[in-house]
Amino acid sequence: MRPKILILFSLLILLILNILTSISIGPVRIPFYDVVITIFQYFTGDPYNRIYMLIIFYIRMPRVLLAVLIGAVLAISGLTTQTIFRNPLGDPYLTGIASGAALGAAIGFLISPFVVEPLAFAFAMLAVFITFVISRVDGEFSPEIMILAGIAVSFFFSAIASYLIYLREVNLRGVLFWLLGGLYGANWNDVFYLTIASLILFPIIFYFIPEFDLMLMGDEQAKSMGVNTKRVKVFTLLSSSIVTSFAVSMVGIIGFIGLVSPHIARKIVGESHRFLLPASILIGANLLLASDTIARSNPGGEIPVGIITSFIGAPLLIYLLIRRRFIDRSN
Amino acid sequence: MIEAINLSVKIGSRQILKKINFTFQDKEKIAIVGPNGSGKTTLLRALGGMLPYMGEIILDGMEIRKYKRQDIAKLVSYVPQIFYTPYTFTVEEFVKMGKYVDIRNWWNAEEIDRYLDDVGILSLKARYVNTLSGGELQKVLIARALAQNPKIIMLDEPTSHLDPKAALEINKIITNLDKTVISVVHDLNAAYNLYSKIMVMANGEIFGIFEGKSQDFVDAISKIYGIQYEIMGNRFIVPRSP
Repeated sequence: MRPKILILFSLLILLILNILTSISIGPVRIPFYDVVITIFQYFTGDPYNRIYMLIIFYIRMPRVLLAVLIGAVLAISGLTTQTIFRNPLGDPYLTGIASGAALGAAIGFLISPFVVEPLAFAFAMLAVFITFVISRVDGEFSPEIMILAGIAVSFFFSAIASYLIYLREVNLRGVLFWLLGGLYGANWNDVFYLTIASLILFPIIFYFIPEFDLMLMGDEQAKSMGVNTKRVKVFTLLSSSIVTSFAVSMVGIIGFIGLVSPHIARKIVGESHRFLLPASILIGANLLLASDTIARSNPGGEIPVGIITSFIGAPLLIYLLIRRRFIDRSN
Repeated sequence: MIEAINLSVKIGSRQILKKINFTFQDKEKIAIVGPNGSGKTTLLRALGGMLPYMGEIILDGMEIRKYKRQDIAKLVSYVPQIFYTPYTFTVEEFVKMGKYVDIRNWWNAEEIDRYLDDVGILSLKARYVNTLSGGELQKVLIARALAQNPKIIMLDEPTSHLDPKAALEINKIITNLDKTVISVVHDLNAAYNLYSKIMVMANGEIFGIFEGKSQDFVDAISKIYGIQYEIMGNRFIVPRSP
């Protein structure tokens, strides 16, 4: 018990150092020490360096905090899908969120840049809704059917999105950049709204930690031990889908964080969700923040962060594929 | 007491159970015997409230549809036929999960050693469940079912994929349980010798319910399988090829 709490604490310290480092890196390099001092002085009185303060609080801080939040969101959603579907390949987009958001964004780019975010969110939720409706069998949600339904819905929405892009010559670069994901548009509003969404929806998922471990034993076993499996699935998948849709509508589709963070966490703290859930969140936040720092400090100009996360995530996944037996055949 | 009244189950367009009726008293040991596809497993799952059914299942005086999931689990636990988990929980954690019915934060449960001791696996406490043999895993599952402290334990072919020694141990554990046991059994000798009642099923119906060690059961089984069985020294034998 003790060592695992220590690991969580270390991950938290790492995240704080990661945040401070990331804030110090950029076109204007702010020494680490000055970052700490400036943040401290912001709350206590007059900052001795106004330029630093402006850069930190108006440019870098929202982006860094958004990266932390989005990393956390993707990790918690990834873990939720992996657990509920008992499928180690689960990622936050399994229920059709990515393609739904992509279609919404493509339509948004056709109309006006201002409606890209709301439409991406609305269509992501529409995709989730359709997936849920299709997967309802005998009053229950079947994991197997839900995975297939998610794939079907994804392809359908992607097809429409591609058709729109092809037909109307939608601002191709805009859509492409959006699809690859990036935090370049980060602002305090995004941070604010995502914080609110997380504060409401994360506790719902945390509430079901005792049931999560039992869900790993399969629906039937979980039921026979007294778990209301339908309630667990609906609450946790809906919560994670909503918060992920929010995140995706802000920064586009960032791959691999949601898939890989829970796997790394599992290696470090084991299978029990009371450690796995917080560890996944902290690792997701650390990973995305580090990736984004790399993405924006590329000398030739910013790279979409999705490229970096895939670049790090894909080899990690291949490593795990070789190391670990993958699909649970017991269900 | 558990009672089924006109219990029917339909899966897709197939009628698996056809209006079956029975009553089992507390602490009876019931074996369910019958050919593959006769509806035995479906019956167990229905009794555990795990699938939709028509008719009624009365558990301790109340229809189980009126129970909360957790309250059914306090009365009935279910040991599945085949279980494999790739997840790395220790035997201790795994058995503690059975305590979920009483303590939501089940990892804080205490006094689970006696369940491990009841099935003779105290020494496996720290092992990971994904490293156990079939027989060991079966014992762990029974220990977890006991941790739920139910009135009824249902087991689906508890010995069918075990070696003879492990099967013997499991049968001994089952016989010594101070609970109602409802067990799907393919081993006719075990059914004949170890259970107080034997329910023979065929084609989704009850062919008959017999006392243990009774000639009627031997006759029923002979009829169902079309093989003329005889009993010789408590063992089923086939005197001549059918």
